[in-house]
Amino acid sequence: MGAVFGRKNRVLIAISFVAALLLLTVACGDNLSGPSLTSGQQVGAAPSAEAEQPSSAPTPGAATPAAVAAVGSESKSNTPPATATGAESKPDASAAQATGADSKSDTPPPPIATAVSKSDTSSAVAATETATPTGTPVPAPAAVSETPAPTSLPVLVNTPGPVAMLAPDFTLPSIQGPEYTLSEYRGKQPVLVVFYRAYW
Amino acid sequence: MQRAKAEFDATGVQILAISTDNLNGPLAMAARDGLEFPILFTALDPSIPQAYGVFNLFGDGLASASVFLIDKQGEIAWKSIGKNYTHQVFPEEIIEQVKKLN
Repeated sequence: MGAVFGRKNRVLIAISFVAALLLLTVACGDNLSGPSLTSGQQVGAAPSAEAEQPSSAPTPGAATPAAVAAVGSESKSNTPPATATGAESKPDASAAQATGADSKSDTPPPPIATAVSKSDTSSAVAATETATPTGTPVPAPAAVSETPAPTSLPVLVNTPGPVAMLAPDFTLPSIQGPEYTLSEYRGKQPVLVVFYRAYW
Repeated sequence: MQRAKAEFDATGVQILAISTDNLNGPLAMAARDGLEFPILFTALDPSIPQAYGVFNLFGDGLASASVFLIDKQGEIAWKSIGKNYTHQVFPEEIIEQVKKLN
């Protein structure tokens, strides 16, 4: 049914995935000051970030749980595309493959991806502001935005896909004179909407 | 399309042809062929073909040749979107789909 719309959505989802993963990579790379690009190193490196930050930062470890939560949820939700982020040359292809594997389950990821990117930025901000006490309120919304993402995921996966799509309504003038409105035919008779560009 | 007009009439479907080209084409076409179904024009406004997801698929700023069959509930029951410049849906195929509605 929504072949074109679905394809656009997949592209958007793939782009958002890649953006979120790149954000995460940059944030972790800044924290660790090391060229850790593979997700295994990221996930494994999160505890070291946790270990580093309390020693260097006088603030209570409010920033580190956000970073750990971001990395943890990211590794949970995005495992198939995350494994391919090490090869930065073609992350979107693998992400598109991963999201394209199931057309129904690729609708839920965007909130997670956005949540991850949000928490990434906020945790990055918190990580950079470890010395200042303003870093403490920042992770709070990140942790809050992190929690609904896993719960909303199965709900969206289990919702049945749309069977039919309501046709976008229009009112257009005709070269014969009168205007035609698509919705006026609703309940009366079927309509054949023909976009054409040449003779046929 | 015009050739199969009688068959379309028999199925009770209303044909609305939408031109996203400039007006010279459809006007000349209607005058020449004496079309009996309304030809709507968008005056190069892409919003409607965009809403149907058929706009600018070939990067030429036009809607691709495509057919949407909309049932009485106003839902898209069937569609055929042109994959290339020469894409053509035969009226027989469309009529078959229209008959499935009834």
